[in-house]
Amino acid sequence: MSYNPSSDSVKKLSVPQSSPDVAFKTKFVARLGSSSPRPSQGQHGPTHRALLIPEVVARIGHFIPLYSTYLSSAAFPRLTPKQLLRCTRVCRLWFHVLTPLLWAVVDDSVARMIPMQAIQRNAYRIRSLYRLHNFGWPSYVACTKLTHLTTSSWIVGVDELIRQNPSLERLEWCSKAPHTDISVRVLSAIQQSMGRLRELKLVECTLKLKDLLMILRSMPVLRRLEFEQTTIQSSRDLYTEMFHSAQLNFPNIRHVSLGRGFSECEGLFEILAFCPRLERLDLDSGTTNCDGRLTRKLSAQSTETLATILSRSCPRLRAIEYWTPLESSIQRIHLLSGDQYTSLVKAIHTTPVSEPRTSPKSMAPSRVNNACSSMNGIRKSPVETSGIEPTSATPVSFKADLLELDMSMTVALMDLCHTLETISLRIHVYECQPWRRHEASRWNFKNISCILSACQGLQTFELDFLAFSKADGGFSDTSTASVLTANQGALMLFEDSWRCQGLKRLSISGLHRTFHVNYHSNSWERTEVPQIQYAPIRMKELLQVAETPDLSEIQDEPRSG
Amino acid sequence: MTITLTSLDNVEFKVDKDVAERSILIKNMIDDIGETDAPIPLPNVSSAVLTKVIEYCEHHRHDPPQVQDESDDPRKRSNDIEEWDMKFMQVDQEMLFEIILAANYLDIKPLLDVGCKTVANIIKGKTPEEIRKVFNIVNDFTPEEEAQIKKENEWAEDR
Repeated sequence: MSYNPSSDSVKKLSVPQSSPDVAFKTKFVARLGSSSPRPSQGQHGPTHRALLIPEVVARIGHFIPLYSTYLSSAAFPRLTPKQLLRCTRVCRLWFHVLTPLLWAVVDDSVARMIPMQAIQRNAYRIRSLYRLHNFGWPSYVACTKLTHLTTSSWIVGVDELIRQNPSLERLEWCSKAPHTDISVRVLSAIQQSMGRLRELKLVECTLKLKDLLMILRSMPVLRRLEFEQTTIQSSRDLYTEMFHSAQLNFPNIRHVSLGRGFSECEGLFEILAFCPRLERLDLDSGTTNCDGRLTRKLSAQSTETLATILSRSCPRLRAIEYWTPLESSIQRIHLLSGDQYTSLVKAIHTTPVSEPRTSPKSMAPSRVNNACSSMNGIRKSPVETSGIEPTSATPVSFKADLLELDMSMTVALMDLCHTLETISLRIHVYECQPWRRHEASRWNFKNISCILSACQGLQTFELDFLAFSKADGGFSDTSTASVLTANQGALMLFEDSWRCQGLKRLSISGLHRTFHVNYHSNSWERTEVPQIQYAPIRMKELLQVAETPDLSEIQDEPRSG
Repeated sequence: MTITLTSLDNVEFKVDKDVAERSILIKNMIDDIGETDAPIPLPNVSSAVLTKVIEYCEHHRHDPPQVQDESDDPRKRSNDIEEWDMKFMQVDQEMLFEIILAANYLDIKPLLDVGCKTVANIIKGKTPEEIRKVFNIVNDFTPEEEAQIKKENEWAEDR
């Protein structure tokens, strides 16, 4: 096939004439003279047109490994630019397209491996800079086209670095030491230069609420705000009162993430009161904080405070995620109780959204559309739902790590029956003698059956059991009888007719798996039993339109322990 | 619902709607025009290539929508190819690049990525001259330019 650059099948990524790469090439040729390029030797036919398209070459270059975990770790991979550099020497097109890939992301480990002159020469190509140390870096690096900057107060001249990058879209700021204030110079640089910032993350900082609000005011297009191990001092001083009385809010913030250590700082919750269009809230409990001690579990009172703020201030909230690492699950450290989950879910209702409020103080009781409490999961982000009837509201997914699915939680989920599209549950059972595990699972299955018989729009249902027992407890019963008991419990899922005619995916796992935990070393081993195969149940017979489910059938699981 | 696609050489292919909509181009066409029995012309894709593309889309019809992942950070990028995709891509070089072009035109990003990963794996371990030889690429550098580039990047030779 002949190459026709005007053909619709060819999507060309043109290199702007003003780009530094073109300028570099022009300067390069002028310096060395105007020799004609020599033809390649050993050529046996025309080059395929795909390899003449910059967009395609760039995508191929995207997959040429630049880092390797061989002889290093996944967290700190080793830079291996050799292959990509060889590709830049193939021809001029490949040089111009692939060279920027080499320099797109630069971090501290890279800086130690590259000569300083090379860094300075290519600084204008860097787009994402992760610089937390000074070692290995030139004293001055002319990065002026950054879109992402992760840096800290350790960096000499960091305020100047921020000022010379007004096009930054994401800034991650780490304090010099835990709970250290951001310096005045840096605060000033951030306020003056971050007009285009869309994502801000603060790590190990201590800020007064008024300072944070002033920073946020200088970021009119900010959409995502993250905190990790950060303390907000919510003193009611004059400036804070001014912000409250001025009915200040940040209407573009859609996503707030409260990371490790959030449970110990209720000042962070106050930020939510200034985010009337918040759509997603992530709560990441973490396991330990920066000084190595265990983070505190979110208390019942804090949960109520949070739920109240969300109810009053965030009418468009669509998703709440509560993250708990597996290490925490084993130690049972951060799992919320059913009441706490229910409290968060009840902060959200499946009624039409009223007009967004303009100030935190004038909030009517919140009426938002969707909710989910999630564990390591991504739920869908619905479209705007103002004025839409509940039955046509955008779908909702609910994902959670639970100790049990009790009646309160079951009813809260059934309240979402018009919009729930995805349910993904992981139910944790501890110190499981097999009979106890299987007995506990039966109650959960019964309540899940009630939910499935109510949720007509459900498309995905996933259920996983995490069973933990002591490594030396001798609880690894793998008898056929045990397996049969577990399977019989699972069959309770199918006792009631389901309403979800559009169900596409059904996954049930973990019935025959146990994590045998050594609590001293915090390690675990997993055992599984080959599953007994049953004849497939004809799903269509189950998916019949049912009457309104009888709530009296919902049962509370007897508490284990 | 069935969608009819017509290739460059006027061969018609009837595919299910959810298979066809793995192509964002086709999906947008259907959204704009509405569901219709009229065939959708694909004048830039031959029947041989379209057969392969449809085979891929049918195999991956139930895949969840691809989300933006961390692949933009080269430190976290994965070059893994599924076993089925690897066998699917065991074709001659001409077909490989035609599939890449078709995936690019039809906006089927997962297929484009699989094709590009396959090419990247071919490139792995080769010198510039070997890469030129495999893909019939003309070296349009002057000797001075080549020497300059090599000199500026010699720090990476042993990495």
